[in-house]
Amino acid sequence: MKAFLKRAKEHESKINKYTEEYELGRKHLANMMGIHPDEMTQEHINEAIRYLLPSGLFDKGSRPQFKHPKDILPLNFDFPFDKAGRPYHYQYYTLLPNYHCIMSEAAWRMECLREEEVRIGSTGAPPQEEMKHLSEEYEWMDLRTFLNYFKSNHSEVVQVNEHNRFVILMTKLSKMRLREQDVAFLKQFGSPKTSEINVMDTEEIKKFYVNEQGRKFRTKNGYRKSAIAQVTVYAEGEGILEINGKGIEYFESQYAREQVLFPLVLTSSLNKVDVHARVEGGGEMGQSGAIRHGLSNALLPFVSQQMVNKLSLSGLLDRDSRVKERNKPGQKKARKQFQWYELIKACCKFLP
Amino acid sequence: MALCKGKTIYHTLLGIYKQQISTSYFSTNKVLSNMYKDRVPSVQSIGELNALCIDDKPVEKKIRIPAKSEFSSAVTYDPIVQKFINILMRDGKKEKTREIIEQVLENIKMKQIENYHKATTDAEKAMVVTDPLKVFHGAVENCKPLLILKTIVKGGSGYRVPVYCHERRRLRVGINFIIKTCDTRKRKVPLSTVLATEILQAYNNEGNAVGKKHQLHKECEAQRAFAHYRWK
Repeated sequence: MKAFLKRAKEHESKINKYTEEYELGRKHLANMMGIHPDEMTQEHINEAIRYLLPSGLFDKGSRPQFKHPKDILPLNFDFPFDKAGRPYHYQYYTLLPNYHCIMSEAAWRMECLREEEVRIGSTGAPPQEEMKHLSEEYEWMDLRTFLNYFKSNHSEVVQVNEHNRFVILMTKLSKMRLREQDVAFLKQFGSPKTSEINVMDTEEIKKFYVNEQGRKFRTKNGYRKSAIAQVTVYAEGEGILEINGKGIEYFESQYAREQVLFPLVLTSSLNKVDVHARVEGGGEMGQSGAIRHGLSNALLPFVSQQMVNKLSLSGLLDRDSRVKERNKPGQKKARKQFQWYELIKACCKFLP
Repeated sequence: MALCKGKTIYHTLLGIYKQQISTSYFSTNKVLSNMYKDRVPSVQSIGELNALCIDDKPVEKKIRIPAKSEFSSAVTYDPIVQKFINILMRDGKKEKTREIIEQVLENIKMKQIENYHKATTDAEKAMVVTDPLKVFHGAVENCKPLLILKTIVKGGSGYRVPVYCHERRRLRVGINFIIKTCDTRKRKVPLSTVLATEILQAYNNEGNAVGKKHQLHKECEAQRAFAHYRWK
């Protein structure tokens, strides 16, 4: 009890301090940018900080942020028990009260429904027609939405085993004959199955531009491993291939040449299309992979729908996200470690 | 009679258990996304692609995996040969291993042509296989073991227990058998000639690589008594 009181006081003083600093900093920023502080929105602040403190970290949560403390910390420090020390929630001593509350309620409803079925079956009436069960229409919560549901609303940390048990219980419940209150209870935890199929945007695929001389063309960028390529494809051509001013002899190895020709051979358009490409950075195989990525994206409007499906299923339209791993402090390279006596030397650098 | 009771209880429990867990739990695309952690694409060759896309309808947008840089529509592409190259490679030198395996396939073809011309009757000539890819596939198939020994620790000591395994693991063990019998440290002979003789012998179920497989099977038979350690 005393520990709770202490923590509540510290929490209040913390929030007051942070709000003062936030207001001060906001006024200074508005002064720098030349806007009135009342008209400044959170988007202005985000843009300003991205300009002043740029960072190349991959994790977006660890980049510098400037927010009001109410977005980060909870405002009021709620006591889950009263003055005598008695908790409000009847399942406070299981460390996840809200999760077990839901599970016990679902189990209690199942027992009530079972008794009703036994009662109906003992009268000897013939069985009703088959109903459509809820499990065929609804999809239960994913792992990620499940974790976020408990973290954001009740600040509880749930594990994977509990998610498995949750799904099994809900499917069992949904297969019984449900009342209206049960349907309303179940609809909180599921979303209806989408009968529509997610299809690629056809408008973006079919876009192309027209030249001064009246030829259709399309340009797209291709990326692989620090190589960047700009590829333009002209329709109704003869089969010209140009890479940085040279032909296909720009690449020396057989495998790099095969990669450049792969999308053309698949769509059987070797002699019907002109290709001009410009490449920078990377090595031999990286440059050929970048050209392949750009070529297959630029070919799409000049080709039938069946070929578009083939190109997407074979994985030519997506960028390969594999990149060289960074070096880490305290090690020689990304994975290579020091020998044990060299570790002491390396650590001495960080000491004052 | 106690055995019969146990059997009936087990089978009835199985039936109840299967009814309770529906198959729709495992059939959503979101659950399958965990399987793509291995980054193994679903399409390995062009023949599978042609079988999947027949109509002109749009295909639904599933989780797509980008293609590797070895995947191509060339006539000389084979997924098993690419796996062999990756296992043979050392220190990231891929061009060197590719040249070795091109030489190996060439040597296999030269030897089979010799055998073709040596054979006198037409029946014997028809039996000789000159396609090096078919010989390669047959040799790898003959070297794959059915069971594998796995060490399981029980009661403080480790036992070697025979165990079933995935197709991927069996491929890798078979290829390792072929590579480790070709040792050129004491002989001054290029690797390509030694590999070619080994593969031809494995195609005919002779040689040291297939002998290693037979040895593994004999050890599995000897450790048959510990097979129930697979389950706890």
